[in-house]
Amino acid sequence: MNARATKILNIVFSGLAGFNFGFVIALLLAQWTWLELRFNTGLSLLAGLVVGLILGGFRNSKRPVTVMGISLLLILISEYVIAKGELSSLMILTGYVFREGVLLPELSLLGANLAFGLIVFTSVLMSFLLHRFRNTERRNQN
Amino acid sequence: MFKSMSTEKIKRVAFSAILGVSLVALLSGCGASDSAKTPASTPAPSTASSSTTVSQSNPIVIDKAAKTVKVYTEVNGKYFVEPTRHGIVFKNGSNGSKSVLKAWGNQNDFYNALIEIGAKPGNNLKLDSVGVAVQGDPLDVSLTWAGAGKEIPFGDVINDSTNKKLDVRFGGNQENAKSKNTGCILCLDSCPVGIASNAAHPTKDFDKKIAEFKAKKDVLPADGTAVVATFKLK
Repeated sequence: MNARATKILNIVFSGLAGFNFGFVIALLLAQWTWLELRFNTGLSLLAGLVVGLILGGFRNSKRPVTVMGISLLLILISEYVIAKGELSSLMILTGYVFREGVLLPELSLLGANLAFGLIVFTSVLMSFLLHRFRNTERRNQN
Repeated sequence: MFKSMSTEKIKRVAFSAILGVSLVALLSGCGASDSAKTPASTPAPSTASSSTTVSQSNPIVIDKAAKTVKVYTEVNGKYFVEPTRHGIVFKNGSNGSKSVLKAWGNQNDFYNALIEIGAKPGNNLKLDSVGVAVQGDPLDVSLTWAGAGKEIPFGDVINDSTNKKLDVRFGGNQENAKSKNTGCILCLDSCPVGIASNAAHPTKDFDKKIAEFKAKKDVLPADGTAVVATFKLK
């Protein structure tokens, strides 16, 4: 296993996990109306991404699938509670948090939802790949 | 052998990641409008006109005879699910993405347009006013969009938690509107910065959580739909 390549994969994974955790924070902060009307709460997405990338450069993610699973589950639970289980509200929530977070307020909700879906898909893919490479590493060490 | 295979895998993964990010960027680019790139701090060029068709390139249309000002806006779907105190805001103002409808015309031109149709501003609010209702000439505000088939009163698209009837007044506030550059055209409670605001709710009603406003998603069209707002002097 190429150590440098694994490190890059680890950084990308951590960045995506950070992005997802940032999304949860953005969703929760947006519920504080006073703050939401004065500040772009969606910026926590980018903050999460940056923090994730930095952390990924310093430490290895030991349980990538679990970490990614928790981040996605938190997004789902937060959205479900905020949108009161209504699918159309859930789509609006996802779209506006994403487009404000990536500083593209003119992006359509559909475009934002598609882009977010792609990021979720990439996140899951990365977590499984990293998990697989870590197992291979362990087998080789033994 | 194993090492080289793993490197190949990693290369493929990295390629997929780059492809994914590129796709996101592409999607983002598709949804972005070129007309939305003017920074908030840049003084906006005059957007008011007497031409009859209201559009993105001609966002404020004045009809002196009918005493109306039409404003080109687009729906911000966010406020179907979140509360706001902003009804219509110029998209490049600092509150441009905080309103139910994003206007393409700026607040200063809108102010001048109302003056041109003969409306008189109240100018009774100060930035620290609390519990004061906005004054000024009353305005009828209605909306229409492709497929609506009629003019719909602005009050019918807003869910006011107190069920008060909308009472829009030409508040004025020209100096505050220029210095703050929030872009506020119509606020849903009395406001010392918005050009027009709702006298049914005194200042700070929203901040004090006395009233909460959301857009009605069963009445307004979908996010991004073009909507023409008509302000008529009563």
